[in-house]
Amino acid sequence: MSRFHFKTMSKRPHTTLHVAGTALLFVSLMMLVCSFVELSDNKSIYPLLVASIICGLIGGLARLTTKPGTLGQAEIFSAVGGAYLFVSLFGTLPYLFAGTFDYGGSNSLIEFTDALFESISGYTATGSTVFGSHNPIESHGTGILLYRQLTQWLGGLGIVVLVVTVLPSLRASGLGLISAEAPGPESDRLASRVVDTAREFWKIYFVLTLLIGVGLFAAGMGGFDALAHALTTAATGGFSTRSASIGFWDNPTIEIILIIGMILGGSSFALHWRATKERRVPHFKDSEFRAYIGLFTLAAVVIAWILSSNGLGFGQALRSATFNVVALGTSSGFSNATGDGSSGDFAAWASGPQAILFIFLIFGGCTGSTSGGVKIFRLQVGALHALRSIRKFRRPRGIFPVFHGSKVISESLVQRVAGFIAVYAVLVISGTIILTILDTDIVTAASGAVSALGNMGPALGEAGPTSSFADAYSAPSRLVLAIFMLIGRLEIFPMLLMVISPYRVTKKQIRQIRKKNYS
Amino acid sequence: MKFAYRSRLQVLTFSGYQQLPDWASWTSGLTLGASFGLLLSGIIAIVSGVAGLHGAASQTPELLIIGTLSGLIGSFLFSIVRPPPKHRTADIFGGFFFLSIFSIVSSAIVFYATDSVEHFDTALYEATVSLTTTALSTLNTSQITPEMQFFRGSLQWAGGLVVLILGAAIIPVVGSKSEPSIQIERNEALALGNTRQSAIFNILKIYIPLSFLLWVAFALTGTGIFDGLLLSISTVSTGGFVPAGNPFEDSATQWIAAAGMCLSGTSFVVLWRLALRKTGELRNSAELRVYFSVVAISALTLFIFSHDFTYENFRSSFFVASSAISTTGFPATITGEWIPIFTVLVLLITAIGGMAGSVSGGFNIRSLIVLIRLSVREMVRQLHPRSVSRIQIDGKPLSESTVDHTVVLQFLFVSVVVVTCIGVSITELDLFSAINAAVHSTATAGPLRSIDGALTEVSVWTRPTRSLLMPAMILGWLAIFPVLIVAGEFVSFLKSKFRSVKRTVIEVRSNE
Repeated sequence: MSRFHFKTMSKRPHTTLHVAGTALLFVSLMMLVCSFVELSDNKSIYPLLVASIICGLIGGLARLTTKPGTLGQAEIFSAVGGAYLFVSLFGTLPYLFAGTFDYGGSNSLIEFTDALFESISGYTATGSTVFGSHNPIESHGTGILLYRQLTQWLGGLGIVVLVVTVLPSLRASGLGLISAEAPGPESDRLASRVVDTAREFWKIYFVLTLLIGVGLFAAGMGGFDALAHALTTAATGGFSTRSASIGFWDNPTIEIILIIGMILGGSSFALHWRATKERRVPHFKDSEFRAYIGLFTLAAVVIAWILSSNGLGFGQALRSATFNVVALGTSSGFSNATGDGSSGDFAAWASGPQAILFIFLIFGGCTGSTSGGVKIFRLQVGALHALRSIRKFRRPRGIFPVFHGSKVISESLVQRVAGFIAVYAVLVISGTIILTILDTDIVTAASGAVSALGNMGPALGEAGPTSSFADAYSAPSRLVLAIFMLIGRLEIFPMLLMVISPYRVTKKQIRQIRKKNYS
Repeated sequence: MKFAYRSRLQVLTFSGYQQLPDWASWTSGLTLGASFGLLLSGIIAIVSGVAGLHGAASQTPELLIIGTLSGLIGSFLFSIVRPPPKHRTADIFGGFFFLSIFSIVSSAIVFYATDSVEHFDTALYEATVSLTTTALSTLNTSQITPEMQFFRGSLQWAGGLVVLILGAAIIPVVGSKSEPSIQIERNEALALGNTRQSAIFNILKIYIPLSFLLWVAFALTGTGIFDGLLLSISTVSTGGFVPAGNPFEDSATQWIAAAGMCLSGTSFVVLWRLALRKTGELRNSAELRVYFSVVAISALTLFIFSHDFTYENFRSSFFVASSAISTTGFPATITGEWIPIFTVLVLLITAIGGMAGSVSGGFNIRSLIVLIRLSVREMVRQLHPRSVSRIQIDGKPLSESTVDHTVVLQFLFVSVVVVTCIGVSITELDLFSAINAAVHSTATAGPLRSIDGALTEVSVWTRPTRSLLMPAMILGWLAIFPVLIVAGEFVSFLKSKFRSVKRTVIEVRSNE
């Protein structure tokens, strides 16, 4: 009994530290590359270099002194959650060393809060930002900007998926890690080996990024901006190198390329993989993808119709509507607003289109993609399940399996989806209450909680596409939102269980010790 | 054999069919629902007309004529129905839906004919807010005659009774065989009566005396006999209409109304057990504990954070909390400072509503408990994927299909709110007002509050906005399922008709 107790105690921190340490090594490498990019602006390379060294040392130490074992569910959640926490915390170092958020009126606590918010927003591919008119993005060095974009790229597909590619020793546990990090109720297995699956995912991701980058460059974006935006488009992140985001270019071609990029980023990577392997487009045979595209089209047309009935030309209305629907629906969060109150500024739209966008903040993209939100698949299962209940009332003895496309959805999956939606609703309500207590108006609070939990980026009310989260939310509110982003990135359970499971283990151990003493 | 299932309506419609026995369950259910709806509004109109004879009786003739006509048509429909030995669940639900529709249309004719409103769509809206106990009325009480005040108050009372019968007597019993209830487990339904009829009878045994007791109590506080009656029927049905003036300025009236609302938000199973002095199980009732805890916590939050530590504020805080959770929505507010979190709180507890098996609307406390326990179970399942655990309430495990229904109800409730919210935000309302209106309509709760706590004037909303809220009110009032079941049946009917037409066309073409 005591030996078993020793094993469970020792395995958990080792695995978590090993995965987190390896993730930190990747982050360190990324910082190192960015520090050299900083040279192109004749800015100091030290903030990024020092941060890189610190991350490298700590990451290396954690990796060398630990070794992973076969993981149970609790260890998997602990490892994935721990990796994101570590990376987000150490990800603040470049911002802190470079004084990115050290602007007039800020103190060190707010500076750290802002750095943490930006770091978490990056690694969770959320795209909410504390940059704004008080602290324009353009005033910072290219290296820091590239680092900021890369945080989203790394977090988009998942830093743990990257870790799995270099940790073959994890074997089958790697799939558990990927599942815990991947969006959606089930993860796809693209190859027989877990390491190969992770590599396939990264290959698709890399090629997608490259294609978007080339497209943007050809459409007239500068080389650096094209690369930076390609990184965050494939990741459906939404960070931009400009304060006005995509509105800075006011270029329909760029917007079209980004729309395509965001849609591809928000759809299942397993479908992209099949497309490359089978040399045909299987996307429209997938029920989730059809619903995803159908919803976008419907929403864009309805919003464009409302905007045009309010006096905007239909062409411009359709352009703004499509871009914003796709940007929010895929959880990218880019903006094509050219300024406050412009046609692309959805915070200035009538309440009808805003209500539709609010729904898209909840929906999110497809399972197995880089997007956040509840996911179309879960909503489909929820709707089909509701439909089945109604049919069962009509024919109580009938057997009505829930079909998704041509596949029958298992009852356990239906229950998991129901459970997820229940937990999601509880979290959104709690978040809204907390943010309202922290002096945020109800629309900004509710949309902020939904946006953070779905890793969407902008919200409604005071936190619209042209606003900064530093203006819309107080510092404690931003911390709450940052926690929500982390919870949402790992689809709620891993982060919550990472906190709960040590408590459960400790409780179990105390019970065992008590039992032993009693006997 | 096929003939046996044909209904009399089909006999009337299609030639060739002659003598047929019982009606099909579907046709019988719907016709009975329609006849009950017409009878309900007809009787209420006649009683209101007679009640008006004591005063100026300016609208008595219209009420009596429409009431009689409605009653006659209802009676005729009732007399021609030859119900089958057993109705299907779906058809009973369909009947309830038809009851609501026919009752609303018939009541709307009353509103329109008595010149209480200018347009027929507003009359439909007024009938809907009355019957569904929503009370988001456009009418100013001081501008309508006493008989019309009595008419809409009585509609609320009847609406409350229909909800009770549907929620506490019909759903648990008809769903007991292969489908467990949406809201209440079978054993709880049996606490109200072993059969559907006895359950309905027992509900009446509580509902009528409770209304009477409240009437006497209000009358004793000096509210007046007529105003006391209006207040009592409004309180017991969680309706929310108030007589002219502000009766809640009086401390005793406000306390009685608050206590009445708390009771109305309590499950009638609980009230029945209390009446029978079977309090043993009530002590362990998680739902009851949560319900009163939510009322107490909400009232204390309103009291403490409004920074006015006076007796008046304590009383009004309790009143506002009871009004919100029971989805009554009496127009009163706290005397202290109103902060934004109060709006969220009121909105939240309105959406939750009272206990299952009560008159109140909303999602209900039992469903909330199930959802929270489902969330916890899901978390445990993440750690132990193969674990088998049942959700329990009061030590009794719930069947998976009950849990399923609860989740589906939540999903449908949110879907109705979302669709309504989009609709009304497109027509005119700002986002917050749209969410507020959608939640209140679906929860059949009374007047809306703006961010600063002020009551919103519904009469300034456009007619399309109000029309869009009506389906949400009906859906929320009937616990969503009945309406969707009817919609499902209707779609199936259309499909089969389309198929048969298609078949006929093919046959005709092939013959040619």
